[in-house]
Amino acid sequence: MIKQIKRLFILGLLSSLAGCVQYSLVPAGSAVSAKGITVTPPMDWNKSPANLGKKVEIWTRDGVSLDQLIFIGGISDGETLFKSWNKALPMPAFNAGMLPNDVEDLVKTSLKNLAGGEIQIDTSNLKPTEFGGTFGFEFELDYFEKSGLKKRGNAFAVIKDEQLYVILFTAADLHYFGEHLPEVRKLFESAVI
Amino acid sequence: MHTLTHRLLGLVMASLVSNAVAAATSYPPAFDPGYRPEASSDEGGFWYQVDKLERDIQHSPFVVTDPALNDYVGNMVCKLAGDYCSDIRVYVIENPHFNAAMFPNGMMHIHSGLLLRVESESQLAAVLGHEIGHYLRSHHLKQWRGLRDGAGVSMVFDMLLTGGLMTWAVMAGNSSFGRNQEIEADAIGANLMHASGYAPVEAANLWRYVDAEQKADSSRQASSVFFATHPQPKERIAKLEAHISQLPETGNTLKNNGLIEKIMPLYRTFMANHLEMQEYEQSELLLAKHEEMGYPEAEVRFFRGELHRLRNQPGDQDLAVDAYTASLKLDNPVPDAHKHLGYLHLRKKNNTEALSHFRNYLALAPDASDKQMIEFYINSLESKND
Repeated sequence: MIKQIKRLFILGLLSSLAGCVQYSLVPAGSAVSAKGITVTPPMDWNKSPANLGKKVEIWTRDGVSLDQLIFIGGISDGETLFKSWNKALPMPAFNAGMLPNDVEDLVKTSLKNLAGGEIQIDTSNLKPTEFGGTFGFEFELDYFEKSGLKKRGNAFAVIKDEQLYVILFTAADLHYFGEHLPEVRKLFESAVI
Repeated sequence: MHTLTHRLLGLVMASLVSNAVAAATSYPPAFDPGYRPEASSDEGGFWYQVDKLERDIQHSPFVVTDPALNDYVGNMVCKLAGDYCSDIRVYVIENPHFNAAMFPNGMMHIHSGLLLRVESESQLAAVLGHEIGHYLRSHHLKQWRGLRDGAGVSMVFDMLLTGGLMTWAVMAGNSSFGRNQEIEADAIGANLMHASGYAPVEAANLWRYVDAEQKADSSRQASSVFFATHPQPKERIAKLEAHISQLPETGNTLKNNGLIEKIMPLYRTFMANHLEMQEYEQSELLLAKHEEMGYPEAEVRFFRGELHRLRNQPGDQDLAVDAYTASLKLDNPVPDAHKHLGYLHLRKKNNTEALSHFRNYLALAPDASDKQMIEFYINSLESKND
C-alpha cells in the first residue's frame, strides 16, 4: 500500500512537472494550423499538452478547467473524434453521410464519454454558418460537470471532402464563456481549411 | 470535497442486493424512529460525514426536482417504512444506470435508470423495501465498523480525512454487503411489500428482467455496476422466491397505480440519457418492455427510431425511417420524428419526402431552436424542386 501511494505521488509529481513544461504559447496575430484548421487568433492562447486523440488539439486562455478551445480536424469515415479510453464507453464514430443533426449527437456523445459518461449535455440552436468559406453549421451546448460547475459551449463544424472539422469552445458559464466567446467567434471567422 | 463526493457516490451506488436466502423470520429494527447517534460516538462521526455528503447532493444538478415524481416515490417510502417514514429522505438522481442506494443517516438515492426499468409500482416497492431493509438493520454501520476494525493503511489515513467514509465507499462498491445482510434486506423488503399491499413476487420478476437485460448486452457484460458487485442473480432469485412462498397468501397484485403517469413528464429526458449509453441491446429490451407496459406508443416508437438512427449500423437507417413513420401515425406524435425523417430522407435523396417532413416539423414546433437549420434545408430543397 505504502509502495502504491509512493508510486502515485511520484507519478503525480512527474506529470505535473511535465504538464508545465509542455504548455506552449500560441501568439496573437499570426496564422497557425491546428489539425488542418488554419486560424489567426486575435489574442494569445496556450496550447495544452493533453492528448485526447491524434486529430485533437486543445487551447486555453485561463486554464483547461475554466475554458477549452478544442480543434478536431480531418476525421474520416469510421473514425472517432477522441480516442476511446474506456471500453465500457466507446466513442461514437463519424460517418461521411452524416448531416448536421447527426454531427450534433456525435459531438454531444463524444464529449459526454470523454467526461466518463456521467454528465448530461443539452444541445440547442443548431444553425447554418459559413466555415472557412463553405457551408458549415454551429450549435450550443449546456451541461454541468460532475463537480457541479455549469459549463456552456459553442461548436462550429463543417464536412469538407467527406472529412469532419470541428472547433469546440467550452467554458465555465460564470464569467469565462461570455468573456471569451467574442474572441472565439473572431478566431472562427478567420478559419481556413 | 465536491469531486471526492461524486466519486464516492459512484461507488456507493452499488448497494443493491446480492444473494438472498429464504428465512421467514422477523428482523427487528436496530433502532427506534427518530434515532440519531451521539455526536461523540464513532457512529456519530460516520453520520457527520454522510450528512455532509447529503448537503452536497441537495445542491447537485443531477437531482430530479419534479415535485409529482418526488411525492410519488416519497409516499411509497412512507407506506413501506411506516413509523420510520420521516427518517428517510429520497433523492431521485438523473443517471441511466440501474441502481439505488441507502445511507446510514436515512438518505436514499434512486436512479432515473431504475425508474425506467421497473414495470409496476410493486417492482419499485421491491427496490425501496430492500433499501429500507438495509437501513433498519444498520447494515452500513456494521460494514463500516468491520472495515475499520480490520483497518488497513488506507483506512488509517482515511479516518483522518473522511472518517473512514472513503474506504467504506470503496469497499462497499467493490464487495457489497455481506451475504447475510443481503438475505435480511431481501427478506425485509418482501415483508414490507407484503404488509403494504404490494405483490412480493414482483421483486423476483424485477431481478429476472435485470438479469435478462444484462445478458442481452453482448458488448460489455462486465460494465454494469450492478453485476460487478452482484454476481449471482439466479441464486438470489431462487432464494427470494423461496422466502416469498412462505408469506401468507393475500392476493395482493397492486401494479401500476400511476407509475407511468408520474414518469411520463420526464420520459424523453430519461430515455435520451439511456440511449446515450450506447447500450443498444439493453435499450431495445427496455423499449419492448415499455410497449408492453402501456407507455404512450408514439413515444416508444419515436425512441425506437432514435435507437436505430444513433446506432447507425447497416440497415438501421431504414429501420429508423419505419419507426419514426409509425410513431407519427399515432396520437400525440413527437415533432422531432418529422425532423429526423426529413434528414433521413435527405440522406436517401428523397427530396419530396424530406421537404414535407421538414415543413411538418416546423408546423408542429414553430419555436424549435434549430429552426434556422431546417429553414435552410427547406429553402435549398424548394429551389431544387423549381
